Amino acid sequence: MSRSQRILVSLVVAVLLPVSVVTALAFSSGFPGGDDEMNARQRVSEQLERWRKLDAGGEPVAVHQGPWACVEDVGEKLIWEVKSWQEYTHYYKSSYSWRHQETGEKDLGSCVFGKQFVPCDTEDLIQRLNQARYCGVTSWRLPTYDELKSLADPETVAGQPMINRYLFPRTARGPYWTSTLEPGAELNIWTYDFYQGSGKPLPPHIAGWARLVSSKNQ
Amino acid sequence: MIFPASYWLRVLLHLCAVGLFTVSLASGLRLAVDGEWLLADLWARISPQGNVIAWHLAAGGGWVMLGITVLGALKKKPWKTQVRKSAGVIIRGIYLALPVQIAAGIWLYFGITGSGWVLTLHYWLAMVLSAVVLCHVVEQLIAKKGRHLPAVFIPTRLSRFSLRSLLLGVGALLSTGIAVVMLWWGSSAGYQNLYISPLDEHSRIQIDGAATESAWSSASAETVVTTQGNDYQRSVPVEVRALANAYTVYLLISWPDPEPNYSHLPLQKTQQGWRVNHNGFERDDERSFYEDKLAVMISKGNGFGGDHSIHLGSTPLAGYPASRSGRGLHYTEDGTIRDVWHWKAVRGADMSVLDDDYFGAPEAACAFCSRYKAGYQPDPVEDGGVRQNWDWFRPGQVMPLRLPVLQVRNQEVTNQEVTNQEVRNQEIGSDVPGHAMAWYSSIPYSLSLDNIPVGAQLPSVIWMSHYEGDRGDVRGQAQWHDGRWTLELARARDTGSPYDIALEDGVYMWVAPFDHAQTRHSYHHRPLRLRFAP
Ligand code: HEM
Ligand code: HEM
Repeated sequence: MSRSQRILVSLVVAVLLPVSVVTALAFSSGFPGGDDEMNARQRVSEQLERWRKLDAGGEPVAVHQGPWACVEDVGEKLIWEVKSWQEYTHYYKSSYSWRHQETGEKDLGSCVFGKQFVPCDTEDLIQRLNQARYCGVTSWRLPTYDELKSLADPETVAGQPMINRYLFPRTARGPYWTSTLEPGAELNIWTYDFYQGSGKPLPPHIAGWARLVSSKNQ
Repeated sequence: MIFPASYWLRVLLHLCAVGLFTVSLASGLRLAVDGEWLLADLWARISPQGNVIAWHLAAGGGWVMLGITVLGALKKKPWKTQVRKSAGVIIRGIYLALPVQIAAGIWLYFGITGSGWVLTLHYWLAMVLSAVVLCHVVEQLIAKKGRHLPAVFIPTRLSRFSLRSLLLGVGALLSTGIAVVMLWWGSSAGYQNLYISPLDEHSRIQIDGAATESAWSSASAETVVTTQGNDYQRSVPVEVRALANAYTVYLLISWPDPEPNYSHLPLQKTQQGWRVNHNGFERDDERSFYEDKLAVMISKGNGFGGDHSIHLGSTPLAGYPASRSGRGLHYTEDGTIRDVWHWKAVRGADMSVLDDDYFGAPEAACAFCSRYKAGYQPDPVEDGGVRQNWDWFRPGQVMPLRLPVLQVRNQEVTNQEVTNQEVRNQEIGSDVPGHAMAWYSSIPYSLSLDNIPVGAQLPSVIWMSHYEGDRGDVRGQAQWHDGRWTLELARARDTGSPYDIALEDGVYMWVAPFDHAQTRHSYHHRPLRLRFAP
């Protein structure tokens, strides 16, 4: 090797070594552009496309603002009720027996109405939300099984309910009512449990939870 | 110059030094971000993110190995040629500063007292060294026109070298390596033993934060020095004692704190409405209006950086939400868990409970989360715990969630009296009053009920009840006396929960005090290792 060649080789080593070390360091916490990053980005953009937070008057609430009263499923044109800590109509631990007009069981749950707990069924909750034009809409009803199940998110942290808790906080353990009947002689209605990530039909006298839905277009 | 020109060991060690210096500096600059030193903002922008503590300490190990090899070589002097005199002041500067820097790093790792000023020295020496190294590079490239480069980068003597001496040299390097590794494993350099005194099954330990039981005085104490907390340079030595019977482990943890802090983001009524007294809460970095806390972490391994559970920087996870403080995220890369127990002076006070959490795999990315906590998650809980007294936090005005019942019933009493009375009803420790209220003696806030005078405060902490579920697995109470917190806690040796780590012989433990800070805790590198009597 000539002298200048040797200097050149030395220079290359002297530059490459620190550069490769720093690159290794920067990449050690996960390759940018790897599968994991792609999945994460996709999850975030899907959530932003699908959901919108609304206040009690139906006005949009910015992504990182609050409080919000409802969540809109933009693609499905549905508006979902959000539950509350506070002991009033949307109290997250108000329970309801299942009733639809004259079918089902009347008043076997226990919900907050006004300032106290009263016997309750799902029709009561529906009426109250419609009367209040909650989130600006008046076609509140129980969701179908498929609609309710569409809220399930299996990627949440183990031990937490399988639902997006940043949109639907305060999800209780146990069955949530739907409007989907189990075919058969006896009246059984499908429920969905977000802790278990599974559903089952239950008779209407059970005190279950309820998360109502309304179509956006009135 | 210590070695002859182009001597192979010289080339090898110089390459190692260049590599190690790059790693030490790059990872060190990330560590320096929290220090709010001069230029810290710049380092925040350019330094690498992630598990940098592991990189920094591993490079530290590399430096120790390098140092021993150099000393060994200097003693033996296996080369035949005359070594030229050193090549100028710049290189001498490096020879002078580097050993001091390495010694300071080792000092910090072991958490010997006085870490505060050593940290200052270590930071400024890093700056000085970078400048000196830069001068060195510029000198070699420009002033010397690269003339000397081959003498350090190309081992010309290799060709004339006999195989025997090559093997000898590589052997020497290898054996220092092995010696350092043996020293690491064989000594307790990687941990500090905490011997747990056996507790007779009939002895009772009352969990009240007072070490009145005689068993405590016979338990041996270990101290770990923590630094880099809310007051960055202050060393907080934490003393730990442990007792155990067949079912339960008891810990007595005490640390100095000149004054106890109970104030937790109090709400204050202003002319314009309610505001939260805060200083950094909106970016998860509240440093003033926060209660004192202490976290204990348990892991089966003693890897660097809390067994590889802390990843520094604003986005250590590309594509995932950023850390709002820009400081980092706790999570594990392999999905294993580190058990975390979080004592909070106000929030757990009336329930004698610690918040049982864990650091695990990072939570899936979320678009609507305001604070992304990655792997820092509570153990499963059905209900209970505490709630915050606002419907949504805003740096400006907030809407309180609840009002004390008494306030509403008896409109004459002032707010401070209300909360005090409120809390007295709960029959809890005497220091917390005014900083929390109970959910069940409060009612939903409404404007029409709010006749609290301007200037008065409301607590932000609302107690529900003891956690229902795994989150309530750790019992604890603390007291503050004469400039010290003493926390007494108890946990089953094996809870059976997949979110807990069983307390067996050989598990490692870290402690992290938070001095009126939400997330800025002090920490130590070398963990305690629990040793149970057989
Ligand atoms: C050329 C060598 C080194 C450089 C340039 C360097 C640089 C730095 C810098 C800039 C910091 C940040 C100071 C701060 O937290 O404010 C730091 C921290 C630290 N360094 Fe070094 N360092 C070097 C060698 C070492 C060595 C050999 C060790 C030994 C194990 C070591 C152990 C540490 C420790 C324990 C900390 C404190 C980290 C923390 O607790 O956050 N360093 N270093
Ligand atoms: C070994 C070095 C460690 C470093 C550099 C470190 C650094 C950090 C940082 C930057 C945060 C703030 C994250 C944010 O802004 O959200 C944090 C939070 C936290 N750290 Fe560490 N940590 C270390 C070890 C530990 C250990 C050993 C424990 C437990 C004993 C611990 C317990 C916690 C807890 C509980 C929080 C969350 C506080 C809260 O939000 O309530 N850390 N840590």
